[in-house]
Amino acid sequence: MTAGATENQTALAAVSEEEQARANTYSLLGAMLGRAPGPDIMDALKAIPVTESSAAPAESRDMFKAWSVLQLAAERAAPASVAEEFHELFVGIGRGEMVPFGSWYLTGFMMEKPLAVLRRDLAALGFARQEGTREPEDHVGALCETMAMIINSSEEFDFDDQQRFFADHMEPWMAKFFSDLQTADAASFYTAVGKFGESFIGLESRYFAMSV
Amino acid sequence: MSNRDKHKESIKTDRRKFVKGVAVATGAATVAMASGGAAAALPEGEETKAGTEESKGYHETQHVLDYYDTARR
Repeated sequence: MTAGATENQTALAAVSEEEQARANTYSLLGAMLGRAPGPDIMDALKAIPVTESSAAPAESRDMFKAWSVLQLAAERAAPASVAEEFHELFVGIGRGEMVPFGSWYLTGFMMEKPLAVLRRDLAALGFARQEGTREPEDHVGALCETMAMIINSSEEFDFDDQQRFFADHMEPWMAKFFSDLQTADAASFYTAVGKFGESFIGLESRYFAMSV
Repeated sequence: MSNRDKHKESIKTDRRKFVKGVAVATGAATVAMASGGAAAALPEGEETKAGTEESKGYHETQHVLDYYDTARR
């Protein structure tokens, strides 16, 4: 095992359980928003044990409900229908019912200044655009997955880095996106994803507000 | 520990308590999320994904989280 891999294991070990759960929740959102989730993701989602702590504050109860609704929707959803939903919502012909991009939500247009700012910040953080991708980086799923990586790279990025990324690139528009997703015509399983995303983004907003 | 440090530590504790409100054991799911993307999976290759990856050498993190896939149609 190389020294680099050992250091990386230490980095992963340094991420607390709570931080890991946050990162994995972002990963889950990314997995469901970037492509129609396959049976392995749906099975994993259904198997996640979610428990409400007896001392849970009000905001956590909302999140607990969102998890329950999402898992129930996953139980009910047939894989083929989820794929069809995903296609209608996010692919379509030219575009789907939803336009899951920050620039579009913030300016009404794709490939706008918010994307330019995001690209600058991604470069500064050390992220490179994956070769062969066809979509701009301000896609809701890509942002969630980036956030998961930032949280997991605790040796390199701290709370302030997470907070800045969230405030600059996610908070301004994602709650609205997830709200819209809940009322989309084509959404059924994705109604639950919308509720889940909205609750989680709200919780994260409150989390990040807890700073000096 | 200075007063300022104590204050910072107590905020960190508050944050941990806040996140602990709903205990989610997502551990096992991570493997599926990681492999789900690599498999990519829809026969017609329906992907609209944007991707980013760390250009630095966090190989194991990349392996765990690298479920971006190229769009294929």
